[in-house]
Amino acid sequence: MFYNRDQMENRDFVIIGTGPAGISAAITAAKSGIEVTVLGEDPRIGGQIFRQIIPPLQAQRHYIETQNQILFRRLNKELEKVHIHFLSNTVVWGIFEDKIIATDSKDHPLIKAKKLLIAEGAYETPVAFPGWTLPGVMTLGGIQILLKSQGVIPQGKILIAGTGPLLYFTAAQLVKNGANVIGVLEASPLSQWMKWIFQLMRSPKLLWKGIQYLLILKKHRVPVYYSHVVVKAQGEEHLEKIVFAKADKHWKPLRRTEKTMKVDILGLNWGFVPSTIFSHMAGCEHECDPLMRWWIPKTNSNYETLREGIFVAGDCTGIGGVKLAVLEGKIAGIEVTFQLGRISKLMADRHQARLKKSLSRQQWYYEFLRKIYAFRSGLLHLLSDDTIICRCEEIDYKTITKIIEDGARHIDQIKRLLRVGMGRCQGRFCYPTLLGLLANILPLNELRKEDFSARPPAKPIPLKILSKESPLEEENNKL
Amino acid sequence: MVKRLKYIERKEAFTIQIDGESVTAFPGETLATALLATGKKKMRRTLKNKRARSYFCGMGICNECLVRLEDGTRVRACQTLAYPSMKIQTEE
Repeated sequence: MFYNRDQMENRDFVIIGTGPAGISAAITAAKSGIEVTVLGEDPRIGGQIFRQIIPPLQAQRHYIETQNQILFRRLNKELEKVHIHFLSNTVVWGIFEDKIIATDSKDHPLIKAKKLLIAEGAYETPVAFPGWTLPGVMTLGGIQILLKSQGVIPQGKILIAGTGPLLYFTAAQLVKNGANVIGVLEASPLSQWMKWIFQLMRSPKLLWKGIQYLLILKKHRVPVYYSHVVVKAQGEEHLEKIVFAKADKHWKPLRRTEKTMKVDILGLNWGFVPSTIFSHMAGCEHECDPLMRWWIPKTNSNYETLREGIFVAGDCTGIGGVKLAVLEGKIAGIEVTFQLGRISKLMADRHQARLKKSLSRQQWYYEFLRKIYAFRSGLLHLLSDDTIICRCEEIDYKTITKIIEDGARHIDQIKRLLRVGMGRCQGRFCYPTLLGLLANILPLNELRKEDFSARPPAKPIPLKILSKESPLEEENNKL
Repeated sequence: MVKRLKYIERKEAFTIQIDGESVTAFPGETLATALLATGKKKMRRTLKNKRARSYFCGMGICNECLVRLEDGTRVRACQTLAYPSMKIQTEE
């Protein structure tokens, strides 16, 4: 495959991502007759939250909680009524000037969008600590995917650690499916949770769900340790045991309370951070939120970024969950419909006003999640000299602190000096930690200006798809 | 490292080769699932320090689960469906 402009297709409205925001925007625009193209890496739509079992695997009975299944079915029903070009199994690896999108698809290598919506979602907040690169240490999202899309559960002694609702949810799901969960380590104190639970009264459904998970854990005798963190993971070739400790309210481990536990699988979740690789690549301006250790693209109230015609929606605009994602997707979809001349400004405004009202009613949940997952400084105390910060390039804590002591002040500086963030994950798993380290030396207003640059490829692609079909080979044949 | 749940309906199994060993996989399973179901834990070694790495994020962004196909291409085991007679290599 070789990329040249003759192959470029023009499309009216292109959406990257098939999660709740992407699908909702697609439906909204397609309903008004807009030609919509949706790009997704998976064979089916849904993104991470709606992950389904991959056919022909089939679940004989409900073995997972029906989290958001009703909403997913409703969206699917609506999708049946509209016409959308869905390009599945398509990896987007670059966004270039003029909303040109490069994919790994032979049939659609280059797509030029009149309007572009980036709905790239989120991923789990990476927290570096000694041993977090060992086989057997994985994210709770990773465990969820094994269960939801593959019908398998981790084997052996499973410990779940981090903070927040996903710990209890996943632990309950696992034990219901017969997994051996030996405990849940929650970094925040129980007293803190009691206060948060009051806020959950706004959503009795959520509160009830939470209580149910805790009851399941109780029934299966899975202990929950509040104010506890994993200090290190140990093992030669894979995880064998963990050291854990009591934590203070800033999640700082109290070393004298350290204990060791034999563990086969460690599932971690510290919340989520927005994915912004594509919005960065598209040249959108971003805002850094040091407290959450994330960046979000700056937008107007219709989710259009400062780059005209480029929109963002869903968790990539800040972690708000599925309901907010749907509303944001719809608002962006209406705006695109208006900008492409299918509906009047008046009509767009009226629709959007209604949706924005629902949005503000749901805003409390965004704030709730912010409180739970806000970064606590204590986690930086987990780092030891040889703790890997950049997993791809294997750069450790000592090397990075040395460069900072020598005067490096920006993520892009550290990147150029050490190759941190230049590996295959493109900084997704080290930038949040770097931000945490810079917070020790930079004043908050300086830290807020911190940003990074993202370069293609956003996902690894074979080099051969960038070159003309083996030109050297042809030359050789001639000789 | 993982166990297949009993109440999942699976079509007829096939064999793939992992490091020369015959391994059972089912249609719809990824390379990661097939590999982890054998009890194997490691997927690759890092270039610099030769440390073992494996399945981590599960959604194709951490790239820790890279394995090598017969033609030399490296793919993310969590994002690649297994198909009959596939041959993969885990060491780097």
